[in-house]
Amino acid sequence: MEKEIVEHSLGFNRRKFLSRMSIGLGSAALGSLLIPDLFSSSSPEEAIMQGLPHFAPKAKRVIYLFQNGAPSQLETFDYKPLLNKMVGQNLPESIRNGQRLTGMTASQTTFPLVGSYFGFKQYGNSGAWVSDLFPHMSKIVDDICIVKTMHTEAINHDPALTFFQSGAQQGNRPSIGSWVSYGLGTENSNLPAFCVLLSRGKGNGQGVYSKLWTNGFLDSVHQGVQFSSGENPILYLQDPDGMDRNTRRKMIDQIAALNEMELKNFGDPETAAKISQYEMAYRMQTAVPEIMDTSRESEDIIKLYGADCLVPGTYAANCLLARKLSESGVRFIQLYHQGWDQHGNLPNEMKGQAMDVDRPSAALITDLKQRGLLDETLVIWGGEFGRTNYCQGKVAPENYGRDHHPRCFSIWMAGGGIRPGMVYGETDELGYNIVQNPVHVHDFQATVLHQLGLDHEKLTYKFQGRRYRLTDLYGSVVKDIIT
Amino acid sequence: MKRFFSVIHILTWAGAGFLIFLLFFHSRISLPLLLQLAGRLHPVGLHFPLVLLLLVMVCDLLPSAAKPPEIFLQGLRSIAMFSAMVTAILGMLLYIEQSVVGDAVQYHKWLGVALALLSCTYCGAHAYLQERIPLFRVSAAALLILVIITAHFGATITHGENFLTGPLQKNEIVIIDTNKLTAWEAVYPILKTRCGDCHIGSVQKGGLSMNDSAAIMKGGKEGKCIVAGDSTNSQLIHRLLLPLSDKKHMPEADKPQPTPAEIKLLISWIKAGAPFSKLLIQLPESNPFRQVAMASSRGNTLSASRNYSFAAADAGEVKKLTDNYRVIQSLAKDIPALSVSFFGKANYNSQRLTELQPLQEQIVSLQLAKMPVTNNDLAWIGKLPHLEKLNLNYTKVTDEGLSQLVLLTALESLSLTGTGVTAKGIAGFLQKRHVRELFLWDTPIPTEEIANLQKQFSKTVIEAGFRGGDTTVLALNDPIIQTTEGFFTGTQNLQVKHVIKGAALHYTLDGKEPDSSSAVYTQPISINATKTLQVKAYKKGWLPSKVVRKNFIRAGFSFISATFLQPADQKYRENAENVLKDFDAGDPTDFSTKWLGFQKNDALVVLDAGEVRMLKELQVNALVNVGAHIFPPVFIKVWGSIDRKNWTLLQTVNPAKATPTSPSGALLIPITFSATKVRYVKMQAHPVPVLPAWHPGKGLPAWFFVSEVVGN
Repeated sequence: MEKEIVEHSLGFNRRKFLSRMSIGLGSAALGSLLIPDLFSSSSPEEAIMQGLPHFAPKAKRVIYLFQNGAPSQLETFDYKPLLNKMVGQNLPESIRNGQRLTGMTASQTTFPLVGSYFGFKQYGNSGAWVSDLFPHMSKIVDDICIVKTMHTEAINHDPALTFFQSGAQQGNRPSIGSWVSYGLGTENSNLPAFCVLLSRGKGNGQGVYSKLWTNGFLDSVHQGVQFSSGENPILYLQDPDGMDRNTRRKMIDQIAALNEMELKNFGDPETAAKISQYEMAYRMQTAVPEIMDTSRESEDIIKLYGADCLVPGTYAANCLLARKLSESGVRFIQLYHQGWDQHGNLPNEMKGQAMDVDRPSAALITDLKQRGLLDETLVIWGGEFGRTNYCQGKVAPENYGRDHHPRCFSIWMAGGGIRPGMVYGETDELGYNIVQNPVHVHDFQATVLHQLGLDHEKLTYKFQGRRYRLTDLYGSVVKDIIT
Repeated sequence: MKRFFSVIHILTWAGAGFLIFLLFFHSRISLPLLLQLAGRLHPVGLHFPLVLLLLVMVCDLLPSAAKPPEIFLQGLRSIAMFSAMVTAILGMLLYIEQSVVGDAVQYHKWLGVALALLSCTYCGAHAYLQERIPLFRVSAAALLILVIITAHFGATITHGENFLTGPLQKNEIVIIDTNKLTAWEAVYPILKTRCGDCHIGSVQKGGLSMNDSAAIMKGGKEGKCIVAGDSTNSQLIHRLLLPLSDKKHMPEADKPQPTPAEIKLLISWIKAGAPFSKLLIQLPESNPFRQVAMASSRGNTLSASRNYSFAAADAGEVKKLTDNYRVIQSLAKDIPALSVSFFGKANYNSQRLTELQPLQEQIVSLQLAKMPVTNNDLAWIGKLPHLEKLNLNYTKVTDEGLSQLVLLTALESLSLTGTGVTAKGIAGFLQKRHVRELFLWDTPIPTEEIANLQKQFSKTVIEAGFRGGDTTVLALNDPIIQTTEGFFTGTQNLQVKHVIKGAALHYTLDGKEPDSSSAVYTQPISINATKTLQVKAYKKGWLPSKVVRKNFIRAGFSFISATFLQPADQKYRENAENVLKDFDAGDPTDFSTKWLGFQKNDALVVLDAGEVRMLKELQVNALVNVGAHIFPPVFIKVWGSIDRKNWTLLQTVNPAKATPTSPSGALLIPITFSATKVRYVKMQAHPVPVLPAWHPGKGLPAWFFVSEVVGN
C-alpha cells in the first residue's frame, strides 16, 4: 500500500517510468537514422486517431442485421433441388470428407439428406433464387448482393458469433463496431457511434451477451451502447422529476471538475473517457427523444415496416429505429434477432422467424433508398454459420432439423458501394462445399472496413506488445462485389 | 614470407590470363559441373575484395606518418588482388552458367574484369607508383570509385533496381479509369511487382525481359514466356504454378509470391489471347479476363480517391467551424474535399450555414435533413462551386428555393424527400440542371406525375419510394390490455391501448367475441364482478386484429395466511406463505415464480380467513402445460372448520383430465358448495401420479401447480 501512496503523490510509477524511458531511447535511435520519412509521418495509431479514412469511403455507416442462431442457407438463398430428390439418402463420405461435426450429430450413424420443404423462385433482373419464406426480401433482390459462399472456422454459436464480431473466436478483442468507431470516430457526437439493438423470435434461441459489442482493448468510448427493448430504450436518460436542465448542467460541470483533478493526478485515459461520456449523455438527453419518437411516423412507413414497428423490442421496431439512428449519424448499428437455431422443428420455426424479419428487413432497404441514404449506408443480413444439408435426427414428413455447418452459408449485403443485383459464389449441388469464390469471415470483415474507407491491414492498435487488427493476419477485400 | 607473396602474385597473374580467356571465349565453352558450382560462390566471395581493396586504398591515401607497417600493407595488397581476381573469375563462371541478360549485367561484367586487372596492376606496380605521389593518389582514388560503381551494378542484379533508393520512393496511388485501361496496363503492374526485379529494366535474368510487349513475347532462354491463348504452355504460367520447392518455380522461393487473384488475372489474360493495346471495354463483356481485370482495378480506383483540383481548406478554419451540431469532415486523408452535416434542429439557423463561407470551395457534400432550412438559405447553397451531394429531406424547401440551385454545376445527387416541392418545380429545375439522382418520396407529387417526370428526364434516376400506405392492406397488431390479469376485490378499472393511432378498440365483457358492432373503448372500463375482457382492433385500410382476452376474477376475500401440512417441491416454493393470497394470478409462461409446484406429495394446505365467514365457493388458479408435465390434479377436496379441530368435508371435485391437445395456460377451477360458516379451510389436491400412455414422459409423475386460492 505504501508503494501506491508514494506512486500517487509522484503521479508516476515503475510501469510509466519504463515506458517513457523507452520512448526517449527510441526517439534517440530514430534520430540517428536520419530518414526524413520517419519524422514526417506519424505512427499508425496517431494517423488513425486523426479520424480520417484511409481513402474516400463508399459507405459512411453500417446497419448489421445479425440473424443470431444461424438461419439455414438451404431454406433462404441457396437453392438445391437435388436435395429434394435425394431426401433420406445418406450424405456421401466423399462430400463430407472428414469434416468435424458438433456433438449433436457426431454420433448419428446415418446422415439423411433433406431438401427445403419451402419452394424457391427466381426474382428480379439478377434472377436470384429466394425461398417462398421471404416474399418481401425477394422483391428487393436487385438492390442487394447475395453471397452464397461465406465460410467460417467455428462450429458452435459462441465462438462463431465472437469470430464474426471480433475476428477471433476467443473473445476480449474489440467488436467490429468498436473498430469502426475507433477508425472513423463518431459522425454525430450527440449520439454513441456504436449502438446495439436486440430482439427475439419464437424459434429456438441462442443468447447474446455484451462481450459481442465490447471495446476490448480499445478506449471504452468505442463500446457498443445496448438499447433496452422496453419503452425507454436508453435507461436513466430522462432527468428525474424535479430536476431541470440547468441543475443537470451544474451537476455535470462539478463532476467534470472533480474528474479533471483525478485525471491530472493519475493520467488514466479512462478518466478522460468518463468526462467525455458524461458530456455526451447530456447532449443525448435532447438528441435521443427526437429519434425515439415514433408517434409521427406516416402510414406509409408503418405499412412498409409492418404494424409491429411501433411495438418496442420487436425486430420491426429495431429496423425502424436503426434507420432513424443511422440517418442521425450513428456509425454502426448492430441488431441481433435471436431464434434461428433450428436443430429440429425447422419448417415451423423458420416460418415464424421469417415472418418476423422478412418485411422489416426489406423495408429498411426501401426506406434508406427513398431517402437517398442507401448509397452511403451498408446493410448486412446474415447469421454466424450455415446449417447441414442432412437432417439432425430422423426426417419426418412434416418435420426435420439441421445441425451447424461452417463450410458454406449465405448472407446478403446492400448499399454502401456493394454491387446491387448480384449473386456471388457457388456451392456444390448438395450445398455442402464451396465450388467457386469462397468468402471467409476475415474477407467479409476486410470488405466491410474497405467500404468505410479503412484499410484492414492499416487499422491497427498496439496492445500487450503487438499490433492487433480486426482481421488478425488474414483477409482480403472481395473486390468482385464492389461497384 | 617472401616466397608466399611471390606464389600469390604468380597465381594472380595466371588467373588474369584465365579471366581474359573466359571473357572472349565464354560463348564457345560449356562448363564442367564443378565450375558451375564454383560460380555460385561469386555472391559470397565478392565481399573479400570489396573490403580488402577499400582497405588498401584507404591505407594508401593516409599520410605516411599514420600508415601501418609496410610488411602488413604488402600482405594486404597481395591478398586483395588475389581475391579480386578469384571473384572476377567466379563471377564470369556464374555469368556463363546463368546466362543473365541486361544492361546492368553487361556493365558489371566489363567493370568487374577491368577492376580485377587494374587492381593487379596497381598492387604489382606499387613500388613504381609510390615514388610518384600525385599519380599514386589519383590511381588509388580512381580504383576506389571503380570498386563502388562495380559493386553497385552487382547489387542491382541481385536486389533489383532502385533498391538503394527504395525507402525514399513513395507508393503513389494511381487513379485508374477502367474505361481507358488497356489489357497490358491491367497486367503490367503485376509483372512489375512480382517479376520486375529480375526481368524489368536493365536486368534480364534467363534472357527474359518483360519491359514491353515485344520483349515479353520474344521470351527467354528457356522458351516462350507467353503462348497466346494457351496458358499451360506459357512458361510464365507454367513456372508460377510449379510447387514452391521446385527449382524452376518463379518468382524464386524467397521472393514475394503473387496472390491467387493475380495468378487468376494472368491466366485469364493469356487465355484471352494475351492482348496488349486492346482496351478492356473492347473485349466482350462475358470475357473472363475483362471481368477479372475490371474487378481488380475497381478495387484500385476505390482505394485511390477522386482527384479534386481545388486546394485544401485551412485546417484551423475547419476545426474552428466544427462543433457538436455542425460536423465538418474531410472525405479522406490527403483529399481536400469536405462533407458537412448538421444535427440538432434547435441548434440550426441561417447564420450557421453562411459561417461556412471560407469553406465554400471545398464542400462537396452537405447534409441538412430535418433542419429548418428555408428557401432563403438555398441562395447561399446555390453558390457552392463543387457541391455534389445535397440532402434537404424534411426541410421547408419549396419550388422557389429549388430555382436557386440551378447553378450547381457539380451537383449529382439531390434529396428532397418530405419537402413541399411540386412536379412543376421539379420539371423547371431539371430543365436547367441535370442531376444523376433525385429523391422525391413523401412529397405532394403523385406517383403518376413522378412517372411522367421520369419519362421526360430519362437520364436522371428519380426515386418515388414506397407509397403503399393507402393500398397495402395489413392486419392490425394485437391490442394491449394494460391491466394485469388476475384477481381483484371491490371494483377494477381495465385499461386498453393500441400502438397504432386511430385504431378503434371494440370490446365485450359478456364472453361473446367482439366485432365491429361491439362497444368502442374510450376510457377505462370499471367492473365489479368476474369478467372476461375481449378486445379486437379495427381501422380503415387495415384488416382487424386478432382478439385479445384476459380474465379478471372478483374475489370475495383472500385468506390471511396459509399453512402447508405437506410442503411444495423445493424448486417451486419460493415465498410459499404469500403466493396463494397475493392476488397475482402469475405468468403462465414463467412458473418458476408466483407459482407453487407439487409432484411427490399432495398439496395439503390450511387457509385462515381471519374471521368466521359465510363461504360458498373456492376458486383455485391452477396451471396446465402438457409438454412441461404440468396437469390438472386428479381431485381437489375441501374441508371447512371454525376451530381448526373439527373438519367438515365441503366438496370434492375431479377436474377434466388433460389431453394431448390441452392448451397451455392458467386453469381456474371453481369449487362450489352450500354456504357454510367457516374460518379455516383445508384443501387437498392430488397430482396425477403417472403420466398417461400417450405422453412422451409416460410412467413419470405429473406436476400440479397453483398460484392463487380465493373465497366467495
